[in-house]
Parts: sequence; C-alpha cells; structure tokens
Amino acid sequence: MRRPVRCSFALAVACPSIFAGLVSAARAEQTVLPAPVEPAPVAVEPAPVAVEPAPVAVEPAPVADEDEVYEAVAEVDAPPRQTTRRELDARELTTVPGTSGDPLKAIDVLPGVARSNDGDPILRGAAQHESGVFIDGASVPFLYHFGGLRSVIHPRLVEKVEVYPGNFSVRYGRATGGIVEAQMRDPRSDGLHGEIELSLLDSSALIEGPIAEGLSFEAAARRSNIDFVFDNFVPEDTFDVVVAPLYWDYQGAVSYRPDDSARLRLSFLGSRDQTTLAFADPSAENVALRGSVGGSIEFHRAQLAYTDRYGDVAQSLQVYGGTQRLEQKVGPNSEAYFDVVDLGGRAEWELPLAEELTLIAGLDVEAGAFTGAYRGSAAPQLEGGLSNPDNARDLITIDRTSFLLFNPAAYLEARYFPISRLVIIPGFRVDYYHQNEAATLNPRLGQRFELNDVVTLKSAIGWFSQPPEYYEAIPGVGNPDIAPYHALHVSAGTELQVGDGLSFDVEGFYKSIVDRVVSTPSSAPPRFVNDGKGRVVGLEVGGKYRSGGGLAAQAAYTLSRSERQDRDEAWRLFDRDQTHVLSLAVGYELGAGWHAGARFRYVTGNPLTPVVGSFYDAGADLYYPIYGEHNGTRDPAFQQLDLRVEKGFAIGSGRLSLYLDVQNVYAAENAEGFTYSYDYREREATSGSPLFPNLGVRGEL
Amino acid sequence: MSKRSRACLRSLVSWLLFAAAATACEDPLTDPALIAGPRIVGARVGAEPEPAVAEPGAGQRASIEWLVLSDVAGPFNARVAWCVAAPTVLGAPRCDGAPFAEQSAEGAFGAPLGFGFALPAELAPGAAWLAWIGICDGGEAVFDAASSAFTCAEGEALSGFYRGFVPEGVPNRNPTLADDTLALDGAAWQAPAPGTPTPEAGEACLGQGLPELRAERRYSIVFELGGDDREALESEPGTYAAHPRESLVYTHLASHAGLDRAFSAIDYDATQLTFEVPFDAEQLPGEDGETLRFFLFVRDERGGVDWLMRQACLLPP
Repeated sequence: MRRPVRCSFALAVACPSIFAGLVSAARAEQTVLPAPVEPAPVAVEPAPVAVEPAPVAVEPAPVADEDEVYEAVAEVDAPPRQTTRRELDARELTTVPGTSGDPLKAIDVLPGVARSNDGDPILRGAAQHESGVFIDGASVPFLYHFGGLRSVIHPRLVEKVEVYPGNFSVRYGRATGGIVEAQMRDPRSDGLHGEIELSLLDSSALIEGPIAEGLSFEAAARRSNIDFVFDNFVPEDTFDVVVAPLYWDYQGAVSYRPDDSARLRLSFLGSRDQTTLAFADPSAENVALRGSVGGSIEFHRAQLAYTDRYGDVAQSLQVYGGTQRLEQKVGPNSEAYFDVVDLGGRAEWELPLAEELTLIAGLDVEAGAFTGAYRGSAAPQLEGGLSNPDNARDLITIDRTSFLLFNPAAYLEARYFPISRLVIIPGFRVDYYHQNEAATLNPRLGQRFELNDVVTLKSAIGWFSQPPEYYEAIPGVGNPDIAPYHALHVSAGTELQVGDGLSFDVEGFYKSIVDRVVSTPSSAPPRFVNDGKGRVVGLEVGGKYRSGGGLAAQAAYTLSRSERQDRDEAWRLFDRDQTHVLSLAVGYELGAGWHAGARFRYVTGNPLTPVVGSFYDAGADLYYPIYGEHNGTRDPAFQQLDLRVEKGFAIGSGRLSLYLDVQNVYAAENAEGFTYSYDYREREATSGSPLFPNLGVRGEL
Repeated sequence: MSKRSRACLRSLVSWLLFAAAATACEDPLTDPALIAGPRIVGARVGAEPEPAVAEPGAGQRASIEWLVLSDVAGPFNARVAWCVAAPTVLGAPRCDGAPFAEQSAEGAFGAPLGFGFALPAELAPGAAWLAWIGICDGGEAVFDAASSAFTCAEGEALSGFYRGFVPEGVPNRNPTLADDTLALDGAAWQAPAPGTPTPEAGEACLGQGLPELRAERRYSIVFELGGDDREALESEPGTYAAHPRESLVYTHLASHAGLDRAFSAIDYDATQLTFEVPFDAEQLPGEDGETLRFFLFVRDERGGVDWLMRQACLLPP
C-alpha cells in the first residue's frame, strides 16, 4: 500500500523518494540517524558551577559488581560552557530497559528530547536535521544502523553522552536545534581485558589493555545476526533475498598519556549497513518496488586528538578524516551513489586571564569532497513536506557531479565570575559557508547563579545559524542562491539539589526560527527558498534520585509547542510536535549480581495531515492524495513499558552476564500514522514496535 | 504461503530489519487488482492522423479515450477539461490558468469514452498539458482550474487526469497489446469474436462459450510480449542511470477477487519478455457461473498506453 508518510528512513529501501534522506546521510556535516524506539533512565546532570578548571582523576563508571575494581581514569567536568547540559554516564547508558544496552538510544528520555521514531534526535522542537551529533568532538555521518536499530559504536566504549537541548556553547555551530555528543572512554591500563556479547540482534567483541607505560589500546567490532535469522527462520518465498541485510561496525583507539596533563589519542571508527532484496514480481501494491531494491551506506573515520597544558593554558587539538560511501537502488527508476572524503579539525585554547576570567578561543573546520549521482524523484522539503507518490514521469537526474564543502569557523568565549557564585558566559562564533558563499555571526550569552547550596538560577540567549542541506544548493536540483537560516534561543530555569541523592531541573525555553529553507509550490524552480519561519515554546522538568542502596530513579517531562510557517501559508504544527513527553525510569541493584530496571513513557502522538480524497493519474496509474489541514490531527498518544533484568556471575577473574531486555512489555499498539489503500479511500492504523524480547549473554575478562 | 501471511511476514521482517513501523496484519485494504466500484482505470491519447503517436504537437488535433470501470454496469455523466500544466517536479500537477477546452458527455462503465481536442499552438516543446475527467454520483461535475479539482453537488467527485507533453524530439508512441500473447492456463485467451454476446461482469455465463474456470483451483495467466514495444530513449552518452529504452509496466484487474497482484513489468533491461499472474477465485460463484472480466493495461512510463479486455466463466468447483 502506498503510505503517505515521510521518507525519513535512513536507507530508505522501501521509500523511493529518498534523495533528502540519502544525501543528508552522506553529508559531511553533522547528521544524525538516531534511535527510534528506546530511551533510558537518565541523569539530568546539570552543569556544575565549578570554579576550578583543572582536570581531576576520578574513578570512572564501572559496569560490574561493586567489588570489582577499575583503574580507568576520567576527568571531572570542566566549568560550564552552557547553562544546561544533560548527561548520561556509562552505567546509566547500558542498563536502560528497552535499549538492549545501547547507550545512544537512551537520550530521548532526557527533558527536552522528544520521542523519535526514525532515529534522529528531536531536541526542543527542532527538526531532526537541525541538531548536531558528535563523537569525541567530530561530527559523524550517521550514528545508528538502519535508522535507529543500533548505534554504530560499541556500548562499552562510551564514557558518557551529553545532550545540549538548546543554547549551546559557541564551540558548536552549524545547527539551530541542539547538540548530542558521545565521548569515548580511554582504554583500560590495568591488564588485558576482553568481552564477548551475543544477542538476537548482533554479536560483538572487545579487547583492551596496556601496551607500555602510559600507552594502552582498545578494539571492538560488532556484526548483526539478522542474516542468520533470515537464512534460518524466514520462509524462502517471503522475499527473494540475494544478500541478507547486514550491519557491522568497528572501533579502535590507542591512547598515550606521557604525563598527567597530556594525552594523545588516535582512534578509528567505521560502520556499514547493507541490504538487497530482489523482487521476482513488482510489489503487490506498488509497482515502483520491483527488481532490485536495496543499498548500502558505509563510513570510515580516523581521528587524532591531542590535549596538553602549557602553564595555565590548556590546549586541545584534533584532526579527523575519512570516507563515506552510499549506494542505493529502488527499482529501475531510482538510483544513487555518493562518495565523500571528509576532513575536519578543531583547535581550542583555554586561557585564564585572571582568577575570575577565563578566555576560550577555538577553530572548527569541516570540509568534504563530494562525488555522486542521482536519478529519482526530486527532494521534498525536509520538514513539513507532504508525501506524494513517485511518478516515473517526474524523475530528475544529477549526473555525476563533484563539489567541495568548506565550512571554517572561529569562536571566542569567556567565563567570567564577577562573584564566586555567578558565572557569565558570553561568546560569539563566526562561520563561513563556502557552498553558499555566506558568513554568519552568532553571539551568545548565558549565566548561572548559585543562589545557595540548593538553588541555582540559570538563563541564556543566543543566535544560532545553520547552512542549507547541500543538495538544496546544487544548481539544477536546488537553489544556488539559498542562504543559511537562523534561530534565536531564549531559556531560563532553576536547578535544585536536595541532599546528596535528589535533584531537580526546571527550565522554560522559547525559540524563533527565521529564513527556514522551504520548497516552492510543486517544487517548481528555484525549488528551495528561505521563506519559512518557526516558533517553539516549552517547559522542561527533570528529577533524579540515587540512593546509597542501589536504587536509581529518573523522571523527565517536557511540555512544548512547536510550529512552522511555510511561505505565506498558515502556521502549522511541526511534524514532530509532541505536547507532552513523560519518561519514568527506575533501576535497582538487587544484590547477588542481579539488576532490574523498568522504564515507562507517555508521549503525545505526532501530528498527521489527513487525506481527504484522491485523484488518479491515468498515464502513470497512480493516485495522488488530497490533503486536509496540514498536520491538523494527531496519532493517538504513545505509551510503552520496557523491562530489563540482568544477572551477573563471577567466574574466576572473569564475569558472565545474562540479560533479558523486553521492549513494549504489554504490547501497546502505538499507532504511527496510517497505511492507505492504493486509492487512499481506505486506511488502517500502522502499529509501532511490537513486544520484542532481546536475550543476550556477555562474557568479560 | 498465502498472500496474507506472506504480507504479514514481510511486514514483520521489514520491521525487524529496518526499525520501521509494522503494518498491521488485519483484514487487508481494498485489493488494487479487484474492480470493486466506479474507478477510472486508463486514458489513451492518439494524435491525428496517426493514433499510434501518443504525443501530439502544439496546435495538433488528437483524441483521448477514457476507460471507467465499475462492479455494476450502467451509464455515468462525465465532465472533461483540458489545460496547460504549471511547472511541477514533485506532487500533483496543476493547471496554469483557465482550461482551453471543456466538454460533457455520457459514458458507460467498461466502454471507452472518446473526445477530440486540439493543443494550443503556442505551447513550447517540452511543455505539459493536462486532460481532466470528473464524474459525480448524480449530476455533473464542475471543474475549478485554480485548485485543479472537480466538485459535485453531493458527495465527492471521481476524478483523474492525463498529463501529456509536447514532444521535444521524436514523439512517443503508444505500446500495443495486439501483437502480444495472453494465455489462460496454457490456452490462448482470445477476445470474443465479433458478434458474440458479451455478458456483463458478474452475470450468469454457463453455456455462453467463454473459457471456463473452476473455483478453488489455481489458474495461470501468462503474458508474452510479441513485437517489442520498448522504444529507444534518447540521452546524452554516459548519462548516469540512463535507460536505453522504455520499461513497460502492466496493470491487471479482474471483476472477481483472486488475482495474485495488480502489477507486472518488463523492464528496459529484461531479457525474459513474459510474466505470469496466478488467479485463484476468492469467492464461490453461483450454480450458473459468474462472468469474469479481466483487463490488462500496458504503460510505457512516458504516457503511452494500451489496454485489452478478456472474459471467462467462473464456475463452482
């Protein structure tokens, strides 16, 4: 059946109109393909108003019995660079029910993070392509396999995930939404360690240990088990499978610490998703799905980072480079490939000018050389585009084209403590966008005031800019005159620390978006224009409790309204506007190696545009839907309970863990839009994720 | 494996593989291969004086035949209109200004309804034009060019369009099914001889000389391309993913549920110029049988269209 839903699926093998998804997946800038379904118990870790910027060695977050000893080292958080930072540590990240232990799928229970059903994070009512995702400071082409199934990094290598839902530091740019940054941990140096994990979804292995004094390494790899399931449990006449769907990823790092202040780290990261289906006959419902349908997306990345301290000046240098490759084919009329060589780097210097004033200066460069071609339907507007059938008579071709992206930026930020309990953080950032021949200036200002040991007040205001998607500026398929667009962020709130184990965070926010990139009517030339607006208002409430007895609980609630205006049309709801987002999570160490957790979510259903009729294209034999009010109705509310139980056994110097992670325990239907009949005259609700138990075993040495 | 269980399994596997939303495995929506109500199913344009040419030029006269089917026989009132198309690369086409012609006519379900027209002489090569048809349940449909939609005094209009282009080079030609072969269970499936009574779909057919099908038995409908209608396509040498010739897309419909699917294709790169569509009647007919009408359409994805109709008598097991 033709589904008038958006083509947001990463590989989009079932969605011929994928240009936007494909090219954005291949773009060299920050692009995210985050997790759809599962969130996690989370720490609403407010940015501390620490005064001492020096790094301090602490015990990191172990993932094991309380009697286990870890020697790995992490650094205490530096003083704040934004008023609001929300963070998940390693222990929280890997024990969240419903995530199968995947740390990057845990973020959407944080305040300000809406439910995403197709991967990318939705931060404070921003469209998914408007937020940046970074691993160790470098943007990544995509973060999740198959648009949200699993993240592309081994869970045990993630030290923490930080989420800045808005008003982020000038360290980050090219985004008008928010920022998600995953930080990888350093290898352990207390001996050789290994881990093997098997589950229904995939198998993985990890090894790490010392090489010499101050020098250690880690390496991990993972491969999906889906092809095994396919080969053994799916009847042969379901699909004519030529190559079963497959994903794999790898990570590696060598870390060298010559002394307490310096660190050199060389890391590698790579990932591939692929699938190919061969239909002997066209799909029973859609003639476009015929022949070979499939594709692959792959990237490899090397990154070299160096941090050191020269007297009072802290220096951080980083370069990265890599390749991306994307191939896709959907029947005879949609085909694409993209090769990207990307290169980037950061340099940052932190200079204390006085006891109460620190300056931070930085450079942030992203570049990419693109080669590719495309044949298929034109790209719709990324957010707010209404789905239409792919018509073989409306194909466009980008014939083997090459172009460069070069986006350098410089920033300056200060941390000023006029009194000991007040920090003011002014900053500005200048970006240049080579493809658009445009520059932007982003001034930002934040403050945190520690009223007393319990109450902290915070507020921020800032200007944020983002370039168009690169294909929106390619001559012939886009508008070369398209310009960057902008957002004003305003936020204010308070944090409460009640005793040692209980904390709250309440924050209101408002955003105004101007010059949004929108399509022209019927995508007629020039196809894309800076003629859209947006506005978002909301309130976030977070609470966190940790007892000394092994109980951890987390609650997050976001109330918001996000709207858009395209051209001179009426204001409408944002495609993923979710009025209420509630998440409750609890985990408990039961003793004797048992750990149990539960998570419950309730989220307002996503907006929907009703189909009120259709008309028939007699030349192409397809129906065009006639839409009612744009995003004028909604899906039913989403609700889901996930449970996780894990039992660990100490075996000699090693450890064996068994876990059962059950997603959607009571099999809530959770309608996600509708499936329509071929002529759009009938419809049925499309169910979300079913009850899904994932059983796994993990062995550690 | 049944059609339904296969569809369910596909959905489940798709969900597992792609984290996409699963389609419910409840009662299926309307089968696109079943003629279940009034439905516009095709339009064929022929230039004058050579109707095999599907792309008339600017200022040239042409004809258009609409085919509207229904599960019941009878007449209908149609309103047709022609307009120049606004530039569109995505989404439904729209008129660019007022129609340059409009007409009304009475048609009959299952019988082609033809109209003559002439394209405006000022259309440039590559320009698109639209022919529209609107049918109301009662009364006459009214066409509004600004919204490019028909309205009825009561209820929703059944509407469709055909989009044509003024040729920039060699004009496209309609594919033809006349020189192809259609077989039902191994025997040639011919059109009724001239003068032979042609019962309406669903009418009793025992003893009428139609090919006989028995319910609860699976039949094979096999199509074989005779003269290759896949015209060569012009493109710059080396153009990415350019097709050297047309693909042919087939739609098969029946008046009784049981066709395995609605679509088949012989793509530009196909070397096997045949396809098979199984038929397995989903309901039992009456004792005197039930006339089954089978329609086959071919489209060249450039506006070229042809169709044929065959009949059979569906009998109890």
